[in-house]
Amino acid sequence: MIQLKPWYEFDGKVFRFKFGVENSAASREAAQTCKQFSPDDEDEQIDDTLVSCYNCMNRRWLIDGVECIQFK
Amino acid sequence: MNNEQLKSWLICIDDTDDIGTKGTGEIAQEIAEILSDGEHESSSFITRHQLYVHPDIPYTSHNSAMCFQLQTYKPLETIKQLTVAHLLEQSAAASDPGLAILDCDSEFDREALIRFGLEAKEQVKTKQDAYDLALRLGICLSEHGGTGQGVIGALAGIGLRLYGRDGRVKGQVDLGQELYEEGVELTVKEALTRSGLDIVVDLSGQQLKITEVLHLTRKVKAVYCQHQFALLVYRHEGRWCNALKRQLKEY
Repeated sequence: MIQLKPWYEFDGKVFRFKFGVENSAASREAAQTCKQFSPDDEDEQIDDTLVSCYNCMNRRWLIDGVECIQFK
Repeated sequence: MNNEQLKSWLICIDDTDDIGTKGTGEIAQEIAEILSDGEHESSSFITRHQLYVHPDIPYTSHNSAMCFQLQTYKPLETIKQLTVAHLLEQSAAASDPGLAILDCDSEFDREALIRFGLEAKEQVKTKQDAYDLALRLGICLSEHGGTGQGVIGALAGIGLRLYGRDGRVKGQVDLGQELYEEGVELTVKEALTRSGLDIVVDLSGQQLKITEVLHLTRKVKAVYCQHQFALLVYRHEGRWCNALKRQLKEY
């Protein structure tokens, strides 16, 4: 998962996406780098570009962000 | 069966899946098909309702409930029996499924149910809150495995469906737009006839006239607003285009 370091950081509880919930460009860049990307159900996708962390089965929405559960 | 009265029900399920398993929407679709197998029986589009994401809520990854309306001759006991059997068969082992069934023709406190749904988008609700309200309103609410936390979302999903301005429609609308790189052009009337949707609205909620022309490309999704199934569009370069996913996210 080291390849995702530029986009994620540990906040003391979870590995959180550094760029919030509205940065599709960063979300796509991260997912293109990630070897574990796997799309969630189409109904749960929110980015028009498929390969995006926002669309990934392994992302988990938080009150104020999104975490990657692959780091667990 | 047809000696019974054709009745309308709202059915909502929540918390049936886990990462990598069949989604709640797909299970809801299967249940809708099982329940509407008789002559003159039918089910509506399924709506997906976003609920609160909070550390105190044990959701898997997005916390959403799936709801549909059913027209059937089947009595409540049969509806519940068939639904529960499918839930038990298809829900993920680590899930906490909940089921809510509302008799739309019954008398109940509609505003209280809507309020519960809206609050469940912004507050942490408990199972006891859900069971107390369901008992008071005469709604069939039940849990089917795990912690049963899904009863909260199941009840909230029905409230949000009744609210009439919440939820994306499960699945995509196929109007042939993906067959062509440039998409297709259809009038509002043609799009509604071919999709089974009720209205076309812009981002401000304004309904388009049936003679307006739509430019549809790639993935087309619908939402639930004004108590109707709606194709959401936005104005782009002088044309009405189907909404982007980030615009649909508001629902």
